[in-house]
Amino acid sequence: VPPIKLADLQLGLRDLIKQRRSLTCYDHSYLHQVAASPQLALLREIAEWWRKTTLDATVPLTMALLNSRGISDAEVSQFTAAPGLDPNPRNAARAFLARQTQQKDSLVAAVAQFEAALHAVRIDGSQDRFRIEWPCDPLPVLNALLYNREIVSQPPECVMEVSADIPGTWQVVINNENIQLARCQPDRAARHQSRPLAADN
Amino acid sequence: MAPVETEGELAPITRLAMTYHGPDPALLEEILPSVDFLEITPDTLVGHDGRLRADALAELKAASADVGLIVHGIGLSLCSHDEWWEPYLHILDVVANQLPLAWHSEHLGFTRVNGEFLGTMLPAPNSDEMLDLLVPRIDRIQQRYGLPFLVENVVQMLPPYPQQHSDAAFLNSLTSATECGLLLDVYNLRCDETNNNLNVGAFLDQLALDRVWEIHVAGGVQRNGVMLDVHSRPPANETLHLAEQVLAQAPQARALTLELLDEAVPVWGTDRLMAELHRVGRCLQGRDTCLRLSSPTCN
Repeated sequence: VPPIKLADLQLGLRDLIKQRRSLTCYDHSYLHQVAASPQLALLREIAEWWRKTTLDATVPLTMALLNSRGISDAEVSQFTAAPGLDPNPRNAARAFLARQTQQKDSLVAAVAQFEAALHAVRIDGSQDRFRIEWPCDPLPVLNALLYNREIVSQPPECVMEVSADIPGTWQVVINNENIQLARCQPDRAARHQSRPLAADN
Repeated sequence: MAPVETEGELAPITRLAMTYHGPDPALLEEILPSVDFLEITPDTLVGHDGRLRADALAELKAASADVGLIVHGIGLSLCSHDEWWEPYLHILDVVANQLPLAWHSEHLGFTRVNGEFLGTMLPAPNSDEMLDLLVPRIDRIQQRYGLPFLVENVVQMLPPYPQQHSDAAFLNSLTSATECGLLLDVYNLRCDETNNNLNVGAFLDQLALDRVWEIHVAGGVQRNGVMLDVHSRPPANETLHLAEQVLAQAPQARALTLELLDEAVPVWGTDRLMAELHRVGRCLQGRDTCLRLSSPTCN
């Protein structure tokens, strides 16, 4: 087998591991050997297992919801293959949550926003106030995620705030009765809190 | 330069070491009386703000009154074709500045390509091009820190690369050209033996074992017939026998290190962990009586 240039080897292996491109006849025979090998899939599986283990520890709420939706493996796989993967657990958690906040599933997006806000306030020391719109009452959902129970998504839509100056750092500040008002005039709506709740109860 | 040097006629005593990724005061209290070195990984000491955790550094500094500290890095990506990962060295700068380190080591592998993290570590190919890249890099590291620097053999999970040199010949060339030391992971050798038919006996026969400063032992699992480098299980008897075999031929070996995944600590429990640590330590029995290289029993 002829030697393979170091850059060609490493770039080729990166592309195979990340599933970036298909090999062509111009690629070295070794890369074709790797592509056809069962070890490549195992290597990817292990890389994804490490990411999943880290995310289970750093973003447990979001991962629990993705697990309950049956999509955690697929989400972690896409995340691991995407550009910008960071080995630092905190950075990886931040990037993963940012992806999940863009989910079409509005409950996944809300839980990811909530967890990202908690990280910002409790870990990073942010003084910002975060507002999160939930498609349902968050309390039964959070209970279910924390205690590994079946998730029952039930109305009303709610708005939650996360901030360092809130006891427990978060509270549900408004339900569907005032949600339109909250969207249009958040400051005025906040003064009509319908159901303040402490986080650690 | 701080090349790994022999100590005249005297061979060093091989000490017992264990990986430690604190802060974990309870674990540290248990293991400190039984180990001579703690092997720390700077990458794992980084906090949420991207800086080294002050509490972790303080704990290690206090521990250094009782044990030696050695660094084993995972984040440098020493063998990337483009460049190594400089931020790791910034972390190591702080660690080396604040803690008394006996030596440090890094894997002969790459975790990044063009700066992008792979999510795994792959070994260096045994090529002339790799040697040409590694020799000046290792020289720079040795100049930067003034500490003995070791390189560790990495498991090949993929089919073996096309090779210009045997594994041992490549390592010999590297250590000869740079005067760096070797961290020989005998569990990794067993993985390569199982997965890629490495002839461990022939490898050891060819390897310049006088460059071995440290030996890693660990245990793992097999998946789909592939032995994985996960450090989740106690070392198998075969791994410890291999370590003893290497120790008998490695007069400069300073440490025998039990590698253990953080996640495995609560699974094993402290009693099991301590029992395994002592089991590994038994590989060193008789070693202290064999200090002189000129002794017939050491030849």
